[in-house]
Amino acid sequence: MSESGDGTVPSADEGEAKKDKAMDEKVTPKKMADSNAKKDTGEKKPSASPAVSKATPERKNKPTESSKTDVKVKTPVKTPTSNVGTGKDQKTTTKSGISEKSDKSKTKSTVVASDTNLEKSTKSKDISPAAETDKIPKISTKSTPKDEETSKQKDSSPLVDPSEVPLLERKNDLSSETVITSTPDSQQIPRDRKAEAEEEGKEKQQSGGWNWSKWGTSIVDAASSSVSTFSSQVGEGFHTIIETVETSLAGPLPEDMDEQERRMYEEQGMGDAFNPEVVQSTTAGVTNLTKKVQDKGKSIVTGGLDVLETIGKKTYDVITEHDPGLKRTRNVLFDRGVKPNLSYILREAKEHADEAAAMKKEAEEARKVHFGAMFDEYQGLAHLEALEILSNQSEKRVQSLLGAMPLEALDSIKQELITIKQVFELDEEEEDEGQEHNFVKLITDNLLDLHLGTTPDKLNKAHEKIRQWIADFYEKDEKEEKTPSKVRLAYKSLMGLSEIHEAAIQALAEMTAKSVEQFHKAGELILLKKDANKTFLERAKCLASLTKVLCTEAGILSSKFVKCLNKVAESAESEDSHKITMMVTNVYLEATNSSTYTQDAFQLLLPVLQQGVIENSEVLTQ
Amino acid sequence: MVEPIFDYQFRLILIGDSTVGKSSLLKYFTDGKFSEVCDPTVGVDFYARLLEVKQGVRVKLQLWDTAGQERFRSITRSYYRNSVGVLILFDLTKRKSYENVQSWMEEAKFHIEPHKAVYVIVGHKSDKDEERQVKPREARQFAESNGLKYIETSAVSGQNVEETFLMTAREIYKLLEEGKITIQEGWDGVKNGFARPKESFHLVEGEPEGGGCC
Repeated sequence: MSESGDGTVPSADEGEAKKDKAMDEKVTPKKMADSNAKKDTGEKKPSASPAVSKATPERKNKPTESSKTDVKVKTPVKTPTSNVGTGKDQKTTTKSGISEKSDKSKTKSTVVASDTNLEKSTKSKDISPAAETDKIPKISTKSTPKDEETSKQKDSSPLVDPSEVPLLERKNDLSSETVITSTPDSQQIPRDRKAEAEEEGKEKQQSGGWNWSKWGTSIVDAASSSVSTFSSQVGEGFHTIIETVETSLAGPLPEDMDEQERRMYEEQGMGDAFNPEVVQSTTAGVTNLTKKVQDKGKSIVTGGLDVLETIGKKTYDVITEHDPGLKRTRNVLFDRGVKPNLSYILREAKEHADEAAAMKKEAEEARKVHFGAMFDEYQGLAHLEALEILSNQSEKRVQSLLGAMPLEALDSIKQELITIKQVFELDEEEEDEGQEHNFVKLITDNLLDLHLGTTPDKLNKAHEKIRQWIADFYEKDEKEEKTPSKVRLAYKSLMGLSEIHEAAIQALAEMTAKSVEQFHKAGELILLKKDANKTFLERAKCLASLTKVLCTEAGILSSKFVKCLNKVAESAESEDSHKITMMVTNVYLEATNSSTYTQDAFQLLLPVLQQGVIENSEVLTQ
Repeated sequence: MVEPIFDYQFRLILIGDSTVGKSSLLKYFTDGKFSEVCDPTVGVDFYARLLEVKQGVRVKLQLWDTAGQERFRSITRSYYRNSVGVLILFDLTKRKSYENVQSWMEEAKFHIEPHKAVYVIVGHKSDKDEERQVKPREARQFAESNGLKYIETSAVSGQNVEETFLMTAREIYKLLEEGKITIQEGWDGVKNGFARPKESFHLVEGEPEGGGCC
């Protein structure tokens, strides 16, 4: 657009200015104004699209030719200028000479024009519109030098001096050359003639004036008329291109095709070709026809495609001019922003799933180091609850039994109940924590002393498992110390810490759960075995001792695990110290929790034992 | 952040004559395998498993395995009250155990009411079909006449084990949704789920300097 615009716009402006001048000087015929209007429309449109601007050169070269012919026509005017002061007759003769000459040249050009037009028209009918459009760029490339010439001519024309005649003559030669090669439009002819007639009129009017002015005006006239023709040509040219586009788009009318076919048959002497029998007999004609139809169809399709492309380009340009980057159009067409795209949704969904999985894993890990959760998993909580149920029931029973008891029986039994209660008030102060004891022996002895038939298997098994774990840890640690490796140490410090922590919590939880279970079972059996030969006080003492052992064991286990943690911590990085401190604290805290649970379970047995005491004493009294 | 590991806890109790296979059934349900050796239960034992009763609704079944022996009966009675589901088991190959179902059921109902619970009659040891002494039709008719469901299971083949517990849990969940069963203070049949167990660990995390050295 800008390439051709540089060429067209200034020259057109110039031309317009000149035309205005010419219009001021003389009364411009209506046609001139029309052409002016046409030129305006023709000039504005090319700037809109490159497609059209591509076509404009073609139109430009036509005015060039026409202007050249004009110049050629007018040059003879210069000849009389030299004979300044000659009579009117002379002038008239020259005039007639001019008119004659111009008429001759005109007719010459007209002939050429009509020939080419004929050629063109016939071609455009038979040959595809594609061929026609193909022509356009060819002409345009040819026209460029000519275009320059025109502008040169235009530039020079107002400045032309009488002394510069040879220059003009040279141009004259040039233009005559171009006349031969030029292919003017048919529309050019009447326009040129009109312009010439005007010029003739003008010259007649000015015949009385002196040479210089006449000469100057004639040059101006020539220039203005050439410009006007140029502009009108541009306008017309644009019009024709639109028409061509339209016609090629629509293709030949079906009626036309029908008519053509009919004509073809008629030519071949087969006016009644539409009779199927005749058609059969004239296969040659049919093949000819089909071939033609095929060719035409092909050309229509290719031409149509070209046109569509052109239209598309133009549309694109029009849109881009108002909407750079097509941002708005895209927004309108695809409505972005409102709908999130699929990949985004999928990515988000994946993130959510990953998050959920990570949270689940984290929760599972958290659960594994959570004493309460592990205690529940080992069914410690359930046993504690069940024991609580029994305890509550026993307490109610004790209350009702005591209420229904005669006073003297109550007094005798009260002492026993108080002694048992005293056993349950554990002396917490003397906890010899850390001091190693024979857990298995103590537990087994105490349970046997209970005389309830409960086995220490579960407790001892859990205990053995934990001790084994600790032993394994040290064994492994020693082995690894023999072959120290920085990588292994780093790995151990990271993995080992949480591993030990987890093991410690689980060990404590399991031990506590088993302890509670043991107490629960003891409670159940105390209620069942009414004919026991062991006194309830003795059993209470056994259970108290058992509680003590279990609490001590919790303390010992926690210390052992903390030692394991510290051992790993020695080789660990300093940044882990906070984590280690946290873990150590947690292990000690859960050891205390463990003791609390065990003691709570023990305390729940008090009403059970009391019930046993009362029921047994009742039996005794009865 | 508080994501419960389970949404509810249902307490189910298994009752029935001694040696009908209550512990075996529970062991199969929780461990997925049948154990040949099985000591008689003392008092009550516990099992637990998570089940999904509905998409996204996880329930922890706390299973109370009671002793079937007559001498423990006085104790096991104490545990009925806090149950929301009761599985009454009998041995398909022992007619006597089937005949006792009635009394087990009545005892359970007596202790559980006024609380609502789901009762299911389970004919166990269905793998021993040739030794069968109770016809499925007979047992089903009995169950239906009491408005209960009847199912036959086997801890050897694993037949219907999963289905029995899932069916019971779903029935309880349905009643819970309908509001016929509600979570009540002082009744442990149905409990709300455990919140994410992290509190105590975080408590320690909050004050890392406190008594950490040893």
